Amino acid sequence: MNRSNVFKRLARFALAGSLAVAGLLWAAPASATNYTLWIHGRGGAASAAGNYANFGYWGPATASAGVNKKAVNWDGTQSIASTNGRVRDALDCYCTGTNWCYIAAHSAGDYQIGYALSLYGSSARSKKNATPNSSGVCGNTDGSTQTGWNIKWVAVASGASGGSELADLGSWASGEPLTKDLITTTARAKYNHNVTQGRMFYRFAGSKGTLYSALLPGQDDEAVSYHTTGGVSGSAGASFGNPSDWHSNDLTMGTAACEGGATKWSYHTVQLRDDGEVYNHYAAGNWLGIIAPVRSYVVTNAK
Amino acid sequence: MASSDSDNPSTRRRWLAILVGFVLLFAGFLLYRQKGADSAVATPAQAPESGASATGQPSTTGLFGTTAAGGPQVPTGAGAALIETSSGLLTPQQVARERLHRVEEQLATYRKWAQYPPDSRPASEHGDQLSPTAPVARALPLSHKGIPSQDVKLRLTQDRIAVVGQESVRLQVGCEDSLGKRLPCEVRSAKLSALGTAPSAKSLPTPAVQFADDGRAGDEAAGDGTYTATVQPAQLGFADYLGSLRIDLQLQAGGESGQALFDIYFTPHAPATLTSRFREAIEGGSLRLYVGIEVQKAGRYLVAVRVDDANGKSFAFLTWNDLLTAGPHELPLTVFGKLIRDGNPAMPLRVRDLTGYLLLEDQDPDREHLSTLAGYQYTTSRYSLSQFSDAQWQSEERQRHETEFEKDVREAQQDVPKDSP
Repeated sequence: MNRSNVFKRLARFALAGSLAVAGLLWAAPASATNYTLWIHGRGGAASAAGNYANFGYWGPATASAGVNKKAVNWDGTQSIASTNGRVRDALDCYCTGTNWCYIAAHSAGDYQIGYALSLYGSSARSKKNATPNSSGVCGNTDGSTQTGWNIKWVAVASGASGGSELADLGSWASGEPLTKDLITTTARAKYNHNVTQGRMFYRFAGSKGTLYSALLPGQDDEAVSYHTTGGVSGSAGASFGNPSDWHSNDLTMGTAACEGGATKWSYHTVQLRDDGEVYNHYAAGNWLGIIAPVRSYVVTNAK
Repeated sequence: MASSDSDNPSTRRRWLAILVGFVLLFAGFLLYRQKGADSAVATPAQAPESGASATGQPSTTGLFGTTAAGGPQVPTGAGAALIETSSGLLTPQQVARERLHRVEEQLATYRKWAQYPPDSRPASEHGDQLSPTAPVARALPLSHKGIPSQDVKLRLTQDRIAVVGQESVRLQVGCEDSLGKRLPCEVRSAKLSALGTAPSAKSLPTPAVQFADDGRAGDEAAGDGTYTATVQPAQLGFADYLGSLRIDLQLQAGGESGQALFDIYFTPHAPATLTSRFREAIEGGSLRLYVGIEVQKAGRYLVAVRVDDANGKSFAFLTWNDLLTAGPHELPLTVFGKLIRDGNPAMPLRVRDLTGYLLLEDQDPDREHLSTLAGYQYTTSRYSLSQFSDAQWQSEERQRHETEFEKDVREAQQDVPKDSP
């Protein structure tokens, strides 16, 4: 075989090999990939639902926000039950098979992930390929299923899964279906908050609230009181504050019962209590308010 | 002799160009994928200013314990690049140790949870689920169009959230001043209405609801300042309505007027009936309780059962969350062997307060409730601890999580400097 023939065969082999490997890499789902899913709260735009690249609710999409960040968008005016399918689609997409997820949630996003884990967290899920279509639904991998989702932990910025007195007292638009879900008695009965399938909810509770202080018991971030952002179980309405607040029991750090004996939901821990009253509820289009320390936490720990 | 194309120098150059082109293309493709992965783990310094966090004084829980007033002390060694975290500014070494602490905690938490199966849990883990028939109470300021009163507080109590079929709900209202002293108050009017968004909901009636403080019809004592109403939706025009109902109140107290509301969830026709038929057996080292259910409507059912020991102390919280077809069934609920071995409950066990609903997926309203079987319903035989297994729960799900979380710990350990304390 002359030299030119050898050269030609080598070139063909390299070409075929390159195409085969590239084809495999494109066709097969990325193996063992970690993702960070951001689930927004009340007010998220319906038009963004199913678009995992739209971080409009949070701030600039260029910000660091954990490994392989994805925005889980849903119509933030509609009820939890009617929109939770969007959240489950995202969990199926990125948190099944060989892929694993970190979850960050804000406000009613806490309600969404809590509802999904409590009601559907032990159900059979089809393993997906992390490649969504325009509706945010991913294709199956091999047709097999697994029990629940591959989730490592949940970080919650001012979670609202226990409701808010602003819904009870008519301060939010009563015509919105989501407002009905945020009535405190309804929110606390909607699902068993202790069922997280063994995943820890790290709760960040802000207290820079003044406008609604007369409506919201204890410390609040202008939208939700410590009784909910701190994951305190039982009926709403009790006042919890910072150690410097003499008129209310302390919201304790970690999983310990609050001063006065009120316990927290199981597998919920207070990661940040806003003793300096510097964090309000709102992202302000720039990852601000109570979302800022959650983003820092996620950047540090979601690898 | 005619030469072949491959012998032609120009042909060789063409093949060489093709080879180089594809090698470059493939290399570029690999670089592109790597860049995509790297960009998602960029350093916090790339993020926009976080505003409040720069001046915040939160308490946070981390490796360095609960910290306050700006977070942990940060070493100020020359050249140390500090990283902004939720615990404050940390060195890369501290960040690595904090992350190791987190993943070790993640593994430990999961292992502790996974001792027992998801459907057979210690009662202590479900404290707010153990008294489903207890009244639900709230304290709120009297408010007028969303503006709260400074002086008048309301105490609102309802004896249930979910109402099924011909059941009724008892609602109570009391008023207090800012010092907690009871105030005379009056419910001037109240009406019941549907909260559903379906067009049919808008055509439903809005009947008046009568609150009274006369010691009758559920009111505990006449003239005690607590106003009571008993509402039976099925008899007020909602016999076929499924979903949330609202009772809007107009109140007057302490010279002020305002509004309040109660929400309840009404199921006109229960989709299944818990039959009160039980049987038990020891299977696989655990106690299996079979609970009878007659299913009228197929679907995913969530049922919760409370188990007390012989002394009435809450011991276990059992659940069913799976599909059921129409017809009679026995729900196999498990009191896990290791749960019994660890808890050592006084025998016999007593089963009480069975609750449940049919989950209507992706709909609002999202459930149809079953009537609660309230109070003690069944007493088991007496058993000795040795009849039960002390083995932990094992499953593919547990194995999958432990394998991943152990890997996370190994990787985090590699990031911590060897001489780090």
